[in-house]
Amino acid sequence: MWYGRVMAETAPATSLLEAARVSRGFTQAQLAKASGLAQGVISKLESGLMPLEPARVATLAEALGVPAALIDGSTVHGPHARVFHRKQASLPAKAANKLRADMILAHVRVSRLLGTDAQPPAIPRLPLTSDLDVPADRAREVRRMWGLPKGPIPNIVELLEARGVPCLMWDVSSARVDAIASWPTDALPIVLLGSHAPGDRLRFTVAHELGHAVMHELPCVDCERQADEFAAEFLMPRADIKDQLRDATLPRLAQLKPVWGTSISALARRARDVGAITDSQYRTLNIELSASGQRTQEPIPLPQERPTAITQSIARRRAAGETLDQIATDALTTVPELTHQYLEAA
Amino acid sequence: MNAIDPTLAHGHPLAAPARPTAHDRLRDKVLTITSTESAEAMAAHLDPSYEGLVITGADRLSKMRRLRRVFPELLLIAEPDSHSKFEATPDALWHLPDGEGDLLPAPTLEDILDGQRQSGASIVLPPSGFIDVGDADTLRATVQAANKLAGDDIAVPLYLASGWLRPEHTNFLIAVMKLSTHPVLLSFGSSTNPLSTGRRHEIYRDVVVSGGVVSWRTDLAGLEALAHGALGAAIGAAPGLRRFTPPKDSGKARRPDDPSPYVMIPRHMHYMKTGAMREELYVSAPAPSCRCRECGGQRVDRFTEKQKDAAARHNHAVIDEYARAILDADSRRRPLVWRGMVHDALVAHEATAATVGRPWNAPLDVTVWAES
Repeated sequence: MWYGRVMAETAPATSLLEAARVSRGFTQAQLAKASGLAQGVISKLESGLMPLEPARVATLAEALGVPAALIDGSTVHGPHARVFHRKQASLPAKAANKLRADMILAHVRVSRLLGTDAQPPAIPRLPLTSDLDVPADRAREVRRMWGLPKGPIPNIVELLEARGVPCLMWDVSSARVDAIASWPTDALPIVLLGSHAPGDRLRFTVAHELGHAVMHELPCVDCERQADEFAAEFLMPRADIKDQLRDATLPRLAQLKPVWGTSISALARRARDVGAITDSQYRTLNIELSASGQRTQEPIPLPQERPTAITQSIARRRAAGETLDQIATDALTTVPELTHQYLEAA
Repeated sequence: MNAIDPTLAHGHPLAAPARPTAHDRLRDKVLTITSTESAEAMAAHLDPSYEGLVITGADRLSKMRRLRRVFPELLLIAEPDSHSKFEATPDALWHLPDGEGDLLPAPTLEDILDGQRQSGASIVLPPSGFIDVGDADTLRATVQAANKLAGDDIAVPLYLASGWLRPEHTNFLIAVMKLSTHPVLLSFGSSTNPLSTGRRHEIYRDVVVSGGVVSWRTDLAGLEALAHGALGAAIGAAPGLRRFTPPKDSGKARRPDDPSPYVMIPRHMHYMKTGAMREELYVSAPAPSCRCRECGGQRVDRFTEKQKDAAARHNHAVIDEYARAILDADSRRRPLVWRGMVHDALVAHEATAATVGRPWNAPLDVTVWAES
């Protein structure tokens, strides 16, 4: 089975205890207080220096509100992954750690929830190999490889899920990002979509994360800009959009927003970047956007694209006779968490 | 008497002296770009050892044929006007005119280059189109297609939107310039000044110098690039020839109400309309006189609307002085020589401001060069 190799290459199991703790927002001291165990013991359990005995596991699982099977060492956690997100410098450490922990748990749970429904991801790796390569080349190449027609992409979340990239709505607002993605080289990738983000911004962010997956192995100085350029060409190909953006005004951009599924700001930027408007026109558009308050709250809100791969998989399992309790147990979560995080949120 | 070459004595054939390639001919050259109407008057002022003439306009080939007969040694180039009316795409890189049926078939790219050769061009240019900002596909394809053209007398003009002068494009531009096997003539176009900010000036120099290209359709920025290692520079004799206006745009004159010519004020690195000199700057003090070969000690604000050719020759003479100072220096010292002249220009502005009794700032580019 496709996951077998993945699991063999993952990190020590005990870090799932740490992931569960951090995901719940506990420090070691807080968990020690809640569970009655010494902080030093928790530290040793997390780092694998002390065996996970059943009594301690049960105590910790109760304190954390997670199934004992998640932290008893019988399950290994998710694979090492390439994780990129914007505004890394300003991301508070606590929020970053929580997000990382959420991602580890999501890897474990999503792979179990999808089971045999999971497809090997079909994301091409096309790094930029020289200064003659530009991100727009890669965006066009991915569109070509995936057989996408000219023009707007109707639903990028659906597109990614169809290529083996499950997505989840998630509260990532504490990290001040619209989405975060994990791209393991050897396991299921996952994209956590910010439940707070407007639909147009979310689409751009998903395309941005796809750009990372396609082009980047390690974080780099230009990675964020390159991912933005990839996203812009992927969602708004120069050849298809340039004529529509010529001498664009705010009302014109507002008309185009639902057509291309990108924000007015992104369309204005695109207009400048493809030469459809001058730098001076771009400045004017930005001043108008700010003066009218549309920069913080754009008109014509677009609905979020909701992921379906996981909910459909759960629905199939239920139709086949499994109860929610059985599915939650298999996914190393609780029924309320399964319902809240994987069913209702989607 | 020369000694006999030993290789001859042993019966080996001598290699013919290598014909200068386009690269050789453009290296350390300062070209003047002019209209067909002004070409003859300008040609007589050029020193073939380090200068050359670029002729623009509809009758450029016939004008070049006439000039070639009179100036056999002068570097002559006829610049196609394709960039002003044609935007290149990956599917149509060159502007090739339509034919007129079987009797007059459409000329091929080779026909166009041969036409320039037969008209006496020292270096021939394919009819490149305008390339809009970010259109990396077309830019790369243009250079790759030009690389397939045989001939060491070819240079590739690239007419790019000024929007390319952003930091995110710098490395790509340099890489594309280096990809070319022919010398590149690099120009940036806009309906206004393509080098409108200090940032753009810096990127421009970076690309032109690191890319090893000719700074094309430019002004003193070409000399700045030359001083720092650009292959050469081609400076326009009139404002419209110091940049280009992309197709679908229309050029915007800064002072459309003033028909007087732009004239370079000696030692100031400052182009100014003579009308503005008379009405705004040299009001309480006379304009300086100029000792260049065109002016012969007359005042620089004397040029009228009808004396644009003479004004262009004066501009050339002033620029020529800067150019010779750069080219006379060892390549390592050229940046210092340039910097010295730039600082002199700043000081000259302060002195003039004191003389005329009003503040007068140096142009943005001079300030940027002084601070870089």
